[in-house]
Amino acid sequence: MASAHHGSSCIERMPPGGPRWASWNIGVFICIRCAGIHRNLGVHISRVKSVNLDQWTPEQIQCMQDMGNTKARLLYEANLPENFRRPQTDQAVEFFIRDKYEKKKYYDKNAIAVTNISSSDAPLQPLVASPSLQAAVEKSKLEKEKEKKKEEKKREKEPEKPAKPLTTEKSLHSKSYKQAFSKLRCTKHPKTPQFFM
Amino acid sequence: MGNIFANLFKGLFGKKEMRILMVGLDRAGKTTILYKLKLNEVVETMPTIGFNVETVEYKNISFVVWDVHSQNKSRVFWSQYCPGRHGLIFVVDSTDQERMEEARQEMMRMMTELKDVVLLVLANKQDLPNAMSTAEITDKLGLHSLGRGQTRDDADDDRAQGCCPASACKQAGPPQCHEHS
Repeated sequence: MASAHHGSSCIERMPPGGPRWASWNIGVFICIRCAGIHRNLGVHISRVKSVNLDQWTPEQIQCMQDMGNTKARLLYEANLPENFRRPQTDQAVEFFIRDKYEKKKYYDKNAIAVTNISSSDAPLQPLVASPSLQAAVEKSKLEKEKEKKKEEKKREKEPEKPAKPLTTEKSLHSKSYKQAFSKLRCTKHPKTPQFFM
Repeated sequence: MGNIFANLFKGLFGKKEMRILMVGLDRAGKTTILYKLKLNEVVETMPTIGFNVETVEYKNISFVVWDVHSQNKSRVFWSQYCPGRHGLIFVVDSTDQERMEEARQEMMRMMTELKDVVLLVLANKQDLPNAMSTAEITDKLGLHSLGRGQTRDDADDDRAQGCCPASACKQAGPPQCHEHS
């Protein structure tokens, strides 16, 4: 799915071959062995789905688009020691995963602001492999486009009411509005897990 | 003549074979239950792709248990597994309240597809603090509409529906389902 865009392997141990599983509420792609560990964490922490064997709802795809492996690394591995070696044995990986998502040992709250800005500069466009996913992504994209069009219409109407501001100001205004909107979308998404707020 | 003795011997000392199909939503704990029954130990599992088949001995009955994969797209093939099945075990995750409706739909679909099997619902993960009670699960799965029998004890008609509490990791829940079957 979005593996090519978000980092081409499992977020935990990076084995060869693309990840076929994902934890949709955290928003990361993982391999099948890590999927087993993620399932043990419980549904309140991680919700595992197969990329190509499960059906995905637009909300779940949205969560994956909002996060992704690269962004999740910045968030969950922000305080990782510099000389940290990624665990390879199953047990060590399990400890690492529990530290990371259950105890949030390496989690950084300041990273949210940074990642939000980067996402507003370059919107994420996942590469989709399975047809059902593709359809769902297209659906969510269409909805997004509709929303954007609505916003644009609103913006067009708004400047007419006040006494016509300068063009430079106008562009600045729309830019900041855009940024604020994208921030809002990232942080206040209804399906985003609570710990992102 | 030899045949008669062989049959008699088999009837007295031989083992009766029961074929059981175990299904349920993903992450319910089917594979863990299967290996708890087989090896009496909790194994580290990964999401099942395909199926696991194990023979479990209990008293003089040997159960052939099929544990099948449960991702959305593969659920339509559930009824194709385990030919000649006698019983169906439907495993639910007692802590997953959100997907109880999804579980109900899948279970009802299986019950309409398989007309001649006995159903046992296993409410797994009862050891966890936020687990729903069996009565609550019976209610949410609509087991009352399928037939009489709410719990393991009073489910005794032909297509007995029972909701049996279980915890694959902590307690001896699964042996109870042997008794039930």
